[in-house]
Amino acid sequence: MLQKLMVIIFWLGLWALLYLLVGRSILLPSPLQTLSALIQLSGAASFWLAILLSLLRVMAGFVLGIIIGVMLAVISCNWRFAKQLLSPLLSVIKATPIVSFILLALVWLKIGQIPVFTSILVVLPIVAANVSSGIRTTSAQLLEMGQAFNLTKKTMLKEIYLPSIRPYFAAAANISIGLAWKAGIAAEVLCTPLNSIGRGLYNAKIYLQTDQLFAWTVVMITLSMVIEKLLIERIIKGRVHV
Amino acid sequence: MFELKKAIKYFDRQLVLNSIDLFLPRGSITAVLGSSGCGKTTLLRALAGLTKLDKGHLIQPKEVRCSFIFQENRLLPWRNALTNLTALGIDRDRALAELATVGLGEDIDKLPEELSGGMLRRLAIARALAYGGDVFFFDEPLQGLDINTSQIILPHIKSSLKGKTAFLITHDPQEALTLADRIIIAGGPPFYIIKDTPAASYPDSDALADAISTPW
Repeated sequence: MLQKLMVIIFWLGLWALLYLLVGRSILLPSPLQTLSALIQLSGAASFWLAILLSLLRVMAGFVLGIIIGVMLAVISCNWRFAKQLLSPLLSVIKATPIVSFILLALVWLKIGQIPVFTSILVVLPIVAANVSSGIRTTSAQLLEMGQAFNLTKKTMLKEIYLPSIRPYFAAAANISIGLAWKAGIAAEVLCTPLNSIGRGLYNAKIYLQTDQLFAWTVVMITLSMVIEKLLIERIIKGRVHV
Repeated sequence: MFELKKAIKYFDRQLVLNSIDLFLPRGSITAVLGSSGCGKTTLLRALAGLTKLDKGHLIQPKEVRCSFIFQENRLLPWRNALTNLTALGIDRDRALAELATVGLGEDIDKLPEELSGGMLRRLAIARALAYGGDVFFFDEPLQGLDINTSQIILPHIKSSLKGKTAFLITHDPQEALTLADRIIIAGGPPFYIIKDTPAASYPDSDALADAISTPW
């Protein structure tokens, strides 16, 4: 605990030192300036609404990405042809720069849908690939055991497949939640929907309010850590049954 | 009850079962003894319908309950000793009684990774016996157990198999003669039957051991 505190003090101190060296808060605000910007922002209801709506958009994308990713994994593990058909699609999604999708989505979709769409595209290939690995590496010996003891499909799923897939799924969720969050906010910065963290970042940037830019970033980091704590640790410990 | 007719099975292009005919009558316990890798396990999997034959037929009754001890323990790593049994639909009280009988009464809430090799084997045995059924397929059931434990478990298996049909793979003549009423001495691969006689034709386990080392 004390050690953790020392680490935090060290980095805050380094930040303050850099601020003194740079000497211009428009380039680098101090920790205190950031804090006061944060306090000022959090006085407005729109701040909390922006956080809520941004969270909802990214979480919607995350959940949809997981659902579609798991479905694609199941399909591609059951039909070899489907696997061949889907694999170039997933490779293309993975290799395409996320900005290209955001810009395309600006043409295709309504403003509010763009962050959701972006998050889906980030999450989907990671979940599909990991869950596929989980399915394919499920022990053939255990599956034969289940078949031999005449287990129902439901029991096979619950007792053999899901526990085998869970660590792969947890790893995918762990990696993709952070990426979805970043990509979703990046999309918001480019399409600036009303009441969004992205719009807050964008406005702070065009008005050169670097302290607010930092304050929003602190908000994003905090939220990202909270989400990871709340959600991912539950999946890993198996309290969320998926 | 179970019958293979002209069963042919390849593994990685190697012929393992070459037109095998074998019939397991209801209520008989058959032990197969033979050198490692001769195809015994493949024969068991073919009889149990766990592997697809490349040619030939398996005739098996519908609605028959089969129980297994595999060569590997094949336990669920994420389930404890008790739930490894109940996960298969085994009644909780039945599972507890069986676990106590094989000496795991104190370890019912331990995960497989917390159990020793011999305990894991006993757990696999308990699972098969508690699951019960009409037909038992055992692939070296006492493998890895020390002599003292075997001496306790063997009579228990014998009484559990009373009146049942069973197919047993083993290397141990004493185990074969204790459990089985029919002894098959086999060679291979590809698997072939050297001798197929009633267990009574061997006066003791030494006689069976001699027959295995010099089968012809």
